[in-house]
Amino acid sequence: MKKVLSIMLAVFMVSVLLVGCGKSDTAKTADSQSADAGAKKKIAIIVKGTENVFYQSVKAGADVAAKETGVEYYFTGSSAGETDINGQVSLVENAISQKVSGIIIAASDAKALVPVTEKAIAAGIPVIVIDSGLQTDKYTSFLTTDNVAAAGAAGESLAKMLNGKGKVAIVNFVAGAQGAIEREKGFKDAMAKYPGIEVLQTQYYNNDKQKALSLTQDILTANPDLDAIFACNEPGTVGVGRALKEKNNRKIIEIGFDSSDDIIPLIKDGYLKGTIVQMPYNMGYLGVKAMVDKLNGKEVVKNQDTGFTFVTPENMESPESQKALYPLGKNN
Amino acid sequence: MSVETSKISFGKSGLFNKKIFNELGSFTGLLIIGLVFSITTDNFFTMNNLLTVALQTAYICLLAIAETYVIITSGIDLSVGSILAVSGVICGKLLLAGFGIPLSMLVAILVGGLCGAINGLAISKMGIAPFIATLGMMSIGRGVANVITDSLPISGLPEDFFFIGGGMVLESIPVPVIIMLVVAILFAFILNRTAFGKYVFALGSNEDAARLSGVNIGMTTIGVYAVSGLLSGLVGVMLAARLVSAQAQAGLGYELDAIAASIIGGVSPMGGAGTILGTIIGAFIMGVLRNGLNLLNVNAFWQQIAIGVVIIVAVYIDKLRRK
Repeated sequence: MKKVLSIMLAVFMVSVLLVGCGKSDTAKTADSQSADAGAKKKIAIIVKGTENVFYQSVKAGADVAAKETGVEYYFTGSSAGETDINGQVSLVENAISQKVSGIIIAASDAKALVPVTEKAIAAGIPVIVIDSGLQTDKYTSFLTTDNVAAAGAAGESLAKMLNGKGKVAIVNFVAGAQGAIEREKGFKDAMAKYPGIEVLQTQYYNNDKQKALSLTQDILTANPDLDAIFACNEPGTVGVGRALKEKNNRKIIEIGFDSSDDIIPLIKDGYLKGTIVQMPYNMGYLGVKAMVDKLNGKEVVKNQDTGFTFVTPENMESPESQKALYPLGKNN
Repeated sequence: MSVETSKISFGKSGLFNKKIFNELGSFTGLLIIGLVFSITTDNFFTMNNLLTVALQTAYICLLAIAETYVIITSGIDLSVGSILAVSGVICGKLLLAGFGIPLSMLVAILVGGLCGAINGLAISKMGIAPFIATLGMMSIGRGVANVITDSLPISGLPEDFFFIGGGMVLESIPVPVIIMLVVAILFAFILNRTAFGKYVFALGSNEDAARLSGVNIGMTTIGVYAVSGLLSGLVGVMLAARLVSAQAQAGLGYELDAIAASIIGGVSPMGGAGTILGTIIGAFIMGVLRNGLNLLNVNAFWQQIAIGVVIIVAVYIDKLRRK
């Protein structure tokens, strides 16, 4: 019995160790000329999920920046995915004990990751935050999409499509989330510049595509004279688009936020008239560049907007849109 | 619950029966809500909108039928929302692997039934309270769905798959509504006209009396939760079909809507009493309320308050009537 127990314990410990390490792959760069003599700088890039297309694009950007600057980096994330906050904390601890030169992190939780990142900073390892915010101000730089500006640009484009007058509905993902508030504000501020545009009461779909779909049906029934709907993230953009597709309604102008394999066909079929696509590639590229600058003692901007691309059915074949829609190439 | 009550319940509660009076109360409530929205909005009482409400409510209706069986046995199933996500993503993966629509659907629904049977096993053989056992499955199921998909949507499914979740028969009747009606009639029949149905009521009325009368408590419990799992699996497949894309996050929180619909429809939270017809009316009260409040463009937060109030009022009226 004791023997069995000890074997089980051993297996358990090994598996915990394996899980804790997560998936990581190290990219080595051959070019070492620009690196300092002696020890080469090594950066840990810790994301929410390594398989996620979004973070794969971050990695693609980091790859290019690392080659240009001659640093090494490893790319990792908890294999249990975005919700495994403890797993991500362990990955940061691992990076600290490995004495990496710097950490770039997309935090799974804005609060839970604060103590461990502050521990890294206290140990002299600079931290750069990408994609999702971290509730501390001790990091070197924060690179993400400026939601207010991006949603504002979407609103301006819609106002042009409407010639400055019409009735517009907003469906948002969840009441009170930072991103949701920023996107709604950016869009509404843009709409407010046009007195001919009426904006309806914001409705929420709690990140549920089915609810976004039902909500859209009800909004269309209640407002037969509706001209446009703005959906604030991926589930909403898909739900609204599917509702329009069910009714074969191409008259309503849908403006969305984000891109995915479910969203691209909606643009192609003409239901989605425009969507804001974030640039994770820039987060990786500019993130590594900023880290190298910091390590070389240069001044780094505290907040950096990584930009966006507004993809429409008309411009979706352009190289810029294609790069935004398929950051890893079409086969991915 | 006294033995006398259980005798009354035996074989008499269901879709079409003498106790139709019991449903009259909730049905009147549904009519009043409908009347109010017909007067206050221009578009509520139109064929187009009523069919939309039926389509939107069909999914919750199916889950509420599952919940009705479980609650009649004086149990509860918190895992229906997670099981539907598991079935949905399994169906999506099988479709992508080229197994064809009928086979993928069948396997996915059976997996749902299996998850439910595991709930039943945990409750009857391990003696875990239904609330705890299904709470565990709720977490396990959601985790499995996330692991299978890495929490990304499964897209690129065949567009033909849409028919099950949102297609139309005779150009106007949504397929989910037809599925809901067929399932309702079938499960009302099972509940009222079969030995299994009698065991379900017996289990909820008085477990000891049921055991002494020779009811196989274990098999009945496993059966009830397996039914709940199968119906959840069916809904999971239908929801994935509606979007032509399977989501690990599908059905988050739907168990609460399903439980609320059953309770509003007069299923006793103590077990031993309930009808499929009542549950359907309960689901439609919630569906009509949501739709109507949306049509009135009522603030989303006030909608939450309104639905909560209706749940409590409905159950209170039901309690008064039963006295």
